[in-house]
Amino acid sequence: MISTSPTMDYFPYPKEWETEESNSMAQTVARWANQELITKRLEFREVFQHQMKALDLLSRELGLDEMVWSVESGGSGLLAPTVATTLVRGYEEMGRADPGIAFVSAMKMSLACFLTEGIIGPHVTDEIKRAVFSAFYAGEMKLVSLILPGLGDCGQPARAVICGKEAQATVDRKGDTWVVHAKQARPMNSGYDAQMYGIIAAASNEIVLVLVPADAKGVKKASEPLKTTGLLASRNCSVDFLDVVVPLDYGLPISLAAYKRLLTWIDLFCGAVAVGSAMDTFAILKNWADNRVIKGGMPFYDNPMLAAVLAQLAMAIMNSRLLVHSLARAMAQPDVFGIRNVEDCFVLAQSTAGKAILDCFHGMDRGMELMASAGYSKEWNLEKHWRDLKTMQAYLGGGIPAQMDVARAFFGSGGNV
Amino acid sequence: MNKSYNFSTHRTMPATTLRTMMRNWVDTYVRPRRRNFDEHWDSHEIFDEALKVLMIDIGWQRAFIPPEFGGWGAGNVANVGTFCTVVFEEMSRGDLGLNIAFASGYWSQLMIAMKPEYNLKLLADMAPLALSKDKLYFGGLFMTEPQGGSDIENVDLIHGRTIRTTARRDGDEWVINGHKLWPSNSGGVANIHGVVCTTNPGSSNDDDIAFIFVPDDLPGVTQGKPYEKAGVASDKNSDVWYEDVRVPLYYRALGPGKDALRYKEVMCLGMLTAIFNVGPMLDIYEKLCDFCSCKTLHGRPLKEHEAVAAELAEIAAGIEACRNSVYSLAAILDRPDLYGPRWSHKIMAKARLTKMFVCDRTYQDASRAMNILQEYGADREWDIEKHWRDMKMVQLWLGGKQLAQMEGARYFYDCQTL
Repeated sequence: MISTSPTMDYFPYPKEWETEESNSMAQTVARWANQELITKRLEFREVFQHQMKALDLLSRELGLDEMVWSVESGGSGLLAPTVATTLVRGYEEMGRADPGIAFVSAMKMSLACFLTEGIIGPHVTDEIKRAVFSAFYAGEMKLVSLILPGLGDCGQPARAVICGKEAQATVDRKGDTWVVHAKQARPMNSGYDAQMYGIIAAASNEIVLVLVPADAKGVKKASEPLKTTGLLASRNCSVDFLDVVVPLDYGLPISLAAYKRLLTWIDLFCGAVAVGSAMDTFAILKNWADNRVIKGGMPFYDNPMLAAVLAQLAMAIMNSRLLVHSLARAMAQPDVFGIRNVEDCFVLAQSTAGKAILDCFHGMDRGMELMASAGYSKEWNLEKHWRDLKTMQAYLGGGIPAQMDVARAFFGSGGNV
Repeated sequence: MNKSYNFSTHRTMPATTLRTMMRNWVDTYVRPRRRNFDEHWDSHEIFDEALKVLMIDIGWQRAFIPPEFGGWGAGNVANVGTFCTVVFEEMSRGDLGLNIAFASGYWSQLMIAMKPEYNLKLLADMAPLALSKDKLYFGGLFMTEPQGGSDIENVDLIHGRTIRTTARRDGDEWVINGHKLWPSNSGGVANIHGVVCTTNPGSSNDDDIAFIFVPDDLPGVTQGKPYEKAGVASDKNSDVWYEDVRVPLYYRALGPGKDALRYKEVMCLGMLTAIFNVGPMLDIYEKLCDFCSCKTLHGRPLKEHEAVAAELAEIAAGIEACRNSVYSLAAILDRPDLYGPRWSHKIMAKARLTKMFVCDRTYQDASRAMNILQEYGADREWDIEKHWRDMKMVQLWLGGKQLAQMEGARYFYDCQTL
């Protein structure tokens, strides 16, 4: 068996879906995780510059950014969605090292998979793909920030509702350009540092994915990044788009189903990040508890009450890992799962990834209780996983939007949820 | 929408001038500054200005000094439990970490300043420092040790057998040796440490549990760098080492047997720190009222979205249940004459389970609130995430959930081997 990290081997996943590429990638990312982050935790903790240096190494030198782009576009040619099972292993390893870095990468990778898998439509030509690849995925590492529909503001003009949430930007076609407008838009990630924004915007009668270079005229970031609970590699802030003009090729009209596909990729990668994060929590807890005694002599593991809590974490990881790998397989081979269309897959993603993130968080939350103050101390790093996963959960909507998505699909709930 | 939680609905929750005074202090000196607290976990300067107003100008640092030495004698007010609960609830509405630092300062003083046993000689020594007009004066309860974690708090089961910090009598002095971890107000904040020791290492006799006060500036006291933590930045914690530290004999709190009983009593009163997690929920309620009135989901104000409203109702239910639970415990602890001594197994089990329930529920509800805020839930500018991080700490401390579960099971189910 090819070993990535010792912890990974505790928790089974379907080996029959492995490929040479997925093993190779998992090993590469595991080496990167150990060398660049895990062994340097006490030295760097959450130093942003170090995090970006590590991400740069992974994205550029180890080739993550170009992975899913076709050879014709200038990439490596591992095409989505078949590469989903491979990427899941990579994001597990990234999550093990630093969920914040993994989250930043996941958003960019989600967009890349979305743009390249051919689901949007024929208007995403090879020329457009080449242009996007060379501008944002090749050469020097660039950060991509996604701005998706979110919460609205009372007292503001009504905005288009997309999947139960409100579009944060509007876009108008004017001649050979798109004109983007948004006030105080709230990105999913990296709003403060991004070189490009990928915005799901509302046009008069359609949804448009519009790609906006951060240096375009009219893009105004907040003067300071937000202070947040976790995911500190993703420095975020609100962004104004004051009638920003971009070329026509940078605005891609998409269907609602296509938008759900973008969310599906995000769910998949975030689910994998959560699993990796929980695996590292497991390793931290095990390291802490291995030689520990309680009540003046009883080995820690021999106490049934404590063992029950430890089991909760292990069970959460095992179940979540199977769920996330199954989702990846379902995206790569929908026929195997009887999945009829993109919408079915989206509902599966909302259900399984949400469950995985919730369970992994709950498992590490309980594990933290066993370590008491050590669980809470930055020295042991468990608390970072705990903060990161909670932040990710909030960014993904905190549960209710996903519940509404599932209700719409399964119970025919109308447009009002 | 600017709405405070209605806090005057029950006779056990008095809307006293005490509460109003604490609320004013919190709203003036704490809430406007707390978003910067995390960055000051090491230096602590940001906290001192607010604390000086409370401790020196208002006079709280003399609260548990007896009146004959110029203090308020708060350890002997008729309703000490409710008194503390009101103060702590209001304070933690502003910042839970400050509340821990504040409360921990008094916790050790209760060892010597409550009926029926006092240590007046030692209180007389403390009084001039506590009555200082310009210097902060803090105490602390120094319990946890490296090898056993919360074992040391488990007096009924362990009876001090695992305590490694020793107190050896040498003439008119105690000589202290040992290593403590994580005490609140360590790292140089506390002027005087209340140190849990043993006079006979390995003994399971409660007479050998000694509670000895150690001034911070004595030779042989060494403190490590403060720990960097996920939250509660305003409470400083570090390693503390005692190497042949000498203190007068009367620095032992009450004496053989009495120290252990009072220590258990003080631990029991410590379970009122469950209210540390209720105060933040009052603040979270206020923040939710604002957020859910001004943000929309699917074109409707969040609070008018039924799925969100259901979650909001759960949070309100949690606040109601938890407040009532802690104030009921406080009322019980106010009246040992009616309910039994605070150190009894019955009362301790009740207190631990109350803390466990309240901390679990409030922490879950804070987490729920973060989810309601969705992409804003992790933003410091809404304050909820800070409370959430802080509240986890209170859930973990004083032996955490597991010790409470065992204590409760032993009492309620008459378990013999736990």
